[in-house]
Amino acid sequence: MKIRAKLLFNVVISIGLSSILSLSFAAAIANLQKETEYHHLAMEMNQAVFNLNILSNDYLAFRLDRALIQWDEAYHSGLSILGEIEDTNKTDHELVKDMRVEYEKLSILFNEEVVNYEYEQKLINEGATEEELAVVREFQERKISQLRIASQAIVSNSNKLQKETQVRLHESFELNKKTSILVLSILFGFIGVSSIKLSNDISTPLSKLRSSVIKFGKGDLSAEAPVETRDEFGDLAKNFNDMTRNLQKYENQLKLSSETLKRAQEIAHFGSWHLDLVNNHLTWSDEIYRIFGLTPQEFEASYEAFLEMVHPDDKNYVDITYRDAVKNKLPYEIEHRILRKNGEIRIVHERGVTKYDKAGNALSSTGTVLDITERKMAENALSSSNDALKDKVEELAHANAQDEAILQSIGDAVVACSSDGDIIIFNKAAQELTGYSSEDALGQDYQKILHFNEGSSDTPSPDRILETLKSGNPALTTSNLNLVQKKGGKVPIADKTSPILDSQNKVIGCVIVFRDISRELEIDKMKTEFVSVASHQLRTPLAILFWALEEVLGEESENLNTKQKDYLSKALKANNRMIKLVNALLNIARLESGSLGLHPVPTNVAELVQKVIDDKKFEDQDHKCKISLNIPKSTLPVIEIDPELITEALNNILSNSIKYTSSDQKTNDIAIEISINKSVVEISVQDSGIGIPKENQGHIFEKFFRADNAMSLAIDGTGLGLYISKLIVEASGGEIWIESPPASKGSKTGTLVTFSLPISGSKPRKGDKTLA
Amino acid sequence: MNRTGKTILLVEDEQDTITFIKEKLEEKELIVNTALNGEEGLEMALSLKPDIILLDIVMPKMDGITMLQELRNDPWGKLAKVIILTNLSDPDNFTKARCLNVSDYLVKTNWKLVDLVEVIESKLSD
Repeated sequence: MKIRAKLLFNVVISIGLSSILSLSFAAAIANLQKETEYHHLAMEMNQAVFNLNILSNDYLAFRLDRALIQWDEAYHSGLSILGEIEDTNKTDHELVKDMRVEYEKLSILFNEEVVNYEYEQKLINEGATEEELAVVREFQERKISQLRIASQAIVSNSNKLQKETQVRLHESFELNKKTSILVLSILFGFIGVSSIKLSNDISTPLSKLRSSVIKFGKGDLSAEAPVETRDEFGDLAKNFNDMTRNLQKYENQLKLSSETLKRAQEIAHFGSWHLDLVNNHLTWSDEIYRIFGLTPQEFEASYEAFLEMVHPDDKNYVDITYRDAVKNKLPYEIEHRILRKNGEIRIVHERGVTKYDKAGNALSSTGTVLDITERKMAENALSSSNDALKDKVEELAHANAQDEAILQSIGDAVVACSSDGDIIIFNKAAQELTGYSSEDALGQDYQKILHFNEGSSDTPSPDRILETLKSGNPALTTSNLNLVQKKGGKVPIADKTSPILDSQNKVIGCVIVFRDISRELEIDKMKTEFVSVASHQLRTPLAILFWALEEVLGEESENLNTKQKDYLSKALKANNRMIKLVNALLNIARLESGSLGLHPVPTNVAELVQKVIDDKKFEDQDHKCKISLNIPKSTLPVIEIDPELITEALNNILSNSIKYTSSDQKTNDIAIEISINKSVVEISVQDSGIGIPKENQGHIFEKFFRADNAMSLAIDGTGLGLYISKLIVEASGGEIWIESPPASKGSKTGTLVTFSLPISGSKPRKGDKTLA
Repeated sequence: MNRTGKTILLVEDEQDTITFIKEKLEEKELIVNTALNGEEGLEMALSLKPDIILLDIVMPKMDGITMLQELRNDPWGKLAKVIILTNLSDPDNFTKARCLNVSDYLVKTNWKLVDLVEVIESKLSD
């Protein structure tokens, strides 16, 4: 409980007890008054009865009418006193009742006496005898005596009443005295006990606190006040303990930071000093001793000791600098050498500032010393390496200029942009081709400068630079691309867009190289025209020869002898080869120029292959090959390819297989297999023919190439079939390769030609649909 | 099939070619008229109104494609049956001819005479 609450409790109890005391006093006084009044009234009653006695005696003695009236008055006054007694004193009820009976009897007796007296007078006046008078007088005497007795009875009652009240008064007084003593002793007792308790409550914690404070004052920060009461002292002790704990914490922190400072100074070779100029007392931090090559606190520092440490050549300079600074009241900064005892020279950087009193007298200086020997050494080294660096930079600038010159003189336009799309390189060819100057272009978004259209249309081509920046892959070169120049002119171009990657393969930009291909297109057109005309010119005689020989060997053949027939057959065969050659050349010209259209449609590969086999069987019934087709059990996907072109490609391959297998009569199996390998469908044609010599295998897909063994066997061939197949397969998004002998199939002879087609399908290409 | 009396106009500058084709067609009892260039061909076509025109492309004076364009401007010529018979197989001519609504486009060297005649006969009876 709080002290304040305790005090309040004591006060309340004391007030309560005092109130009880006061109430009992008041009750006693009220009682006293009442009894006093009873007493007083009883006395008055006595007086009244006494008066009545005197007046009745007066009347009896002197027979005065006045006395009679007075008696009556006195009687009534006594009656009113009696009434008052009856009204107030209920305690002595019986006594008062007796008094009233006697008092009323008094009146009756007196009246009877008065009547009797008047009767006596009448008798006297009538002259009655003495005997008669004696009887009357005797009666009178009796009455008077009765009157006296009644009066005495009243007085006696009244006296009794007085006595009673007096006794009660005394009793009441005694009771009051006892009560007062009891209440007072309780009051004093309570106050005494609670005061002792309170003083105890206050003094004990106070003394504990005091001793803790004394301990604390002596520097013992761990001193805690062991007070755990819940009162104000408890609070105070808690606050005190909190304070000591906090102080302890701060002291620990202070210790730590002072330790840290020491350590930091040690690490940084950074010392601090304080010079008391009044007492010439210098204090060095440990690190200064170390910087000076001394053991920390080895001896008492002084300004003179310091100067001793300074390099002899710098001593004067240091002294003057410091003294000037003190004199001029300015902070100072100085770099100088020190000479350690072991002869080692260190370079230090010093700063200092001085404090002055109001009169301007210097009081103390404080400063720092930093060992900068290593830094100075590094600076020197740096300055020499700086020179080397300068040379390197110059060299680099030179190389850069060379690169720049090369870039500028490249015939192709080179434009590079950052990952944000801002142009950072725009070489001379790019300026000439686009019509924009490098000032126009550099720093601009490429979309403002480079505009490409699909062919000669006004449709902008897909933004391949954006695509490259996003994907990080080189963009596919689209054929038929036009550059829109600054002045609106259009130039056909070929371009290559590649990402610029950093060492983490992150796209940091994009480089676009493009060139004007108008001339190339022109040449290409000329070439196409030439091929077209040439093929026409070649075909005309070939057609006539073809038909003529056909006629001769057909309807006219009976007129020919065997030899003639044989010769003409050979001529027809040769002519047919020539026709095929022209067709093949035309196809190549188109495939190479990219003008051959590629129109993918959903195609069932197995059906396509089967059709090629069937056609072949029908077309070339002479061969004795057994062609088998092996289709995987799993469903083959329907893929989007150009069936006409793929038929041509497969036809060429199969023709070769038949051609080079038929010549060998022993083995004549051709196995065609379709399989799925990841994302491609593979079609392979395996023959058991003459195979391809190892040294020729690298050239087998080249134009006009024919293997040595094929040539020696004098088998017809243009050397264009596999080349065309390769062009077609590659245009369709696939690959083609050979294996001879097909080791993977466990064969020792023959050739395996395989080509793949993407399951995702071929990309369509605009152009003429037909092959020649 | 009654082919008798059906007329064919062969527009071709190469005499040897004319000889072979004319002979073969006449064997089939077809009447064959010939013209040596486009100009002549157009004139004859409009006057003779043949059942089918066999048209070469590379010819002096007027080439086959030009003649075909002119022909298509004529009310009769608009619907006349034309087979291109040429040694050109380049995409350009092929596309142009197709657009001018030809019945077929044949490359001479790819066709045996017999087969060629068969195609012509089938187009005639279409």
